Amino acid sequence: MKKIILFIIAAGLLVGGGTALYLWNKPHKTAEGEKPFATISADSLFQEYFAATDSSVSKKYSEKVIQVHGIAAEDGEELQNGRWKVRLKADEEGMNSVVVELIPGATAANIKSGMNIEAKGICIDYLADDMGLGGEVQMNQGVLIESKK
Amino acid sequence: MQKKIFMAIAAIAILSTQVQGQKFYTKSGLVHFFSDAKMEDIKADNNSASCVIDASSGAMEWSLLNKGFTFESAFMQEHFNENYMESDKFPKSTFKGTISNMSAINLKKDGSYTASVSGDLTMHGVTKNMSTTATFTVSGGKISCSSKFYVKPSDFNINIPGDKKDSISNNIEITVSGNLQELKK
Repeated sequence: MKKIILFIIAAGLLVGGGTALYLWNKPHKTAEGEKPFATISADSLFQEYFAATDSSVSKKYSEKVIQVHGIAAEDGEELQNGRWKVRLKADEEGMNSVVVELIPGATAANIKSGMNIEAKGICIDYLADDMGLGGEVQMNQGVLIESKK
Repeated sequence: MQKKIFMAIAAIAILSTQVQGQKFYTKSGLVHFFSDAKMEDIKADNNSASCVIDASSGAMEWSLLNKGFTFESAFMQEHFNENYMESDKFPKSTFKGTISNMSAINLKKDGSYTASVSGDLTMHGVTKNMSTTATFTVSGGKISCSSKFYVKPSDFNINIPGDKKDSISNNIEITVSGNLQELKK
């Protein structure tokens, strides 16, 4: 009987420890190799967020893989911590945009303003234009799918 | 001669007005979060903070999405958003303040300038007044700014459970930095 109790305790510790270790080291979800929840143009995605009067659009897209296509509003940008991001126009002027920050190691050095690009990322949310800089839908852990002049 | 002096003064005055009327911004500000606790260090970066500075008034604003922080551990990131920041309920953090010595900072002239900043930091639905210093560096037309300050989670109604007190610092170091561009409209 004592052996059984000891076995159950040991098994419990093993399972608990293993689960804790797994959770602790659980890798970040990225868009790489993931099937998108939605494929949408940058301006349509932006308009959905912009027109929303409640959190329904945030709930619809948040933390999901979204594939987005449109025109690069600017050259690919290398960020201060070495990651890259691309900005897709969500209107004619490119004031409003959809931004995709790429996974570590991925580059957007070849992306030039005006190119047609398609990228996939994990949708974060919408940062409204409260400061006169234009609104943006932000995504991270992304990858570039296609780019052409 | 008098005409030349008058023209020079007028040109300086016009140039000065133009500089002072300008706004500078970034949409790729880096906000770094660092918790140094007994049991472990926790770090996270947000690369998509927006900032705008009005060179005439010294007004400065920052805004970011809390879910935009990337932690080393996905597990920590989930906890940060769900248990501490409640990012679905409070998606943004903002700072709205003023640089009190803006007249001593020339963003068109190479140099390093120390700015005195004070204003309201809002996160987790709580707004607190704070003061800090920031450094502006102007070099060859490139302008960068940076600042470091500390926030106490308890000041923003962020409760750290007793069993996590050794894992999460009660004084979080926040470092912000950005490369600023002139806002053209």
